[in-house]
Amino acid sequence: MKDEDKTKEQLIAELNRLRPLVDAQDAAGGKSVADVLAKAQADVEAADRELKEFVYVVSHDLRAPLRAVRQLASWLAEDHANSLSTEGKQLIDMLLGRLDRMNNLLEAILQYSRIGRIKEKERDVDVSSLIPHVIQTLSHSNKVKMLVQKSLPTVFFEHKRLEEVFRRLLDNAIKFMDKPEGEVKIRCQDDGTHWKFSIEDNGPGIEKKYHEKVFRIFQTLAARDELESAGMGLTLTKKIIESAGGTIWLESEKGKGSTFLFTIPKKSA
Amino acid sequence: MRGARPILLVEDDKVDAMAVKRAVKELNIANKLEHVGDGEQALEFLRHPGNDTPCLILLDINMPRMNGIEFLRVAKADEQLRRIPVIVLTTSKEDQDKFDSFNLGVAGYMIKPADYLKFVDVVRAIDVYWTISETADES
Repeated sequence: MKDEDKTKEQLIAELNRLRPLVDAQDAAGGKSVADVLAKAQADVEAADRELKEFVYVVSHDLRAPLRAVRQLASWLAEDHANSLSTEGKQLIDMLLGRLDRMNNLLEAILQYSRIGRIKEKERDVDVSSLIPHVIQTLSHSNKVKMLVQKSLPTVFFEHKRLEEVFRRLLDNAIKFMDKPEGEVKIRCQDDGTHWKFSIEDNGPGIEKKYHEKVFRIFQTLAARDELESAGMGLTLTKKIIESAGGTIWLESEKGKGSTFLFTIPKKSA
Repeated sequence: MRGARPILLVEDDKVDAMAVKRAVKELNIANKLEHVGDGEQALEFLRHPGNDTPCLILLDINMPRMNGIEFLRVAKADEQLRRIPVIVLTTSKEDQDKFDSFNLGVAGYMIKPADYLKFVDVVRAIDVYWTISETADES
């Protein structure tokens, strides 16, 4: 993993791993490296806080003028319909579409900045009752067959966040399904210190070269004009899982379906 | 809306104010719409002897000089103004703004939709509710 790909949590964990070595060196009469490290950690945390604040302010304050532009454009179309040609109306429609897209992108950035900034209390979540609830709220869930493992564990997690993780992964499986007999398998394995969940579909699959890219912010594999999507779903999912100390990855080959796997550390209140 | 008293709109954004005016006109709401640009101007309007007390205040939160929350702190502590129903009309989905607003006794909290037609629905709902509901004014 390259440094810039690491999350703040991973960097801090790494600093903590190095600390005993550094302390030993310290005791042996070296410079106060521990102080340097502590300062570096404080700097990272301060920068992280500032960035979150910045993202929030930017996306929040940008929405107001955007909404204004959208309203003005729609009034232009409505009040001056008679003096606009068909082509003029088409242009305004395209303008409105792009404004909606920009609004969705800003909304996505706001959602992303909320994770970690606003924390819900962790509690016991019974995954076997959570899954049917999530499936119920999905649109077009009847398009695919959901095969849910009989017994699923109870995990200690932020309830809404875990719901969001399953909703986004299942929603993707449905959205990209290309088979008439679509199937999604939801399973969990005891992995010792972690629970390992998997969501396997028989959809189109994803080429290996895109496996990391799909988790990056605003990345979509289809042009936005073909499939309107902010490209934030998997980024949010990854951030939720990683800030809880888990990992998420994808196993897939083109034409052979996709399996999204993620781990959650075993914890309790 | 009930009675003939005006509605006071406290909003700094011109286009947002246009949206409210448009919706009020479109829905044939007969009450006069008075518009001021921030909390200070709202207090000035409300305390001006010649002005009718509004039947309802529509209040934005993010405004220059005196924002919506600051306005509520003053208005809700004022014996003459505290009974005028205030509905917050904002883009802020922040929990803190909602907590502050309801702690200060607002009558409702509405998020301004990006889509104008949905915005008209919001204004329609406010109008229907405040046509049915009693208010607590002396006149």
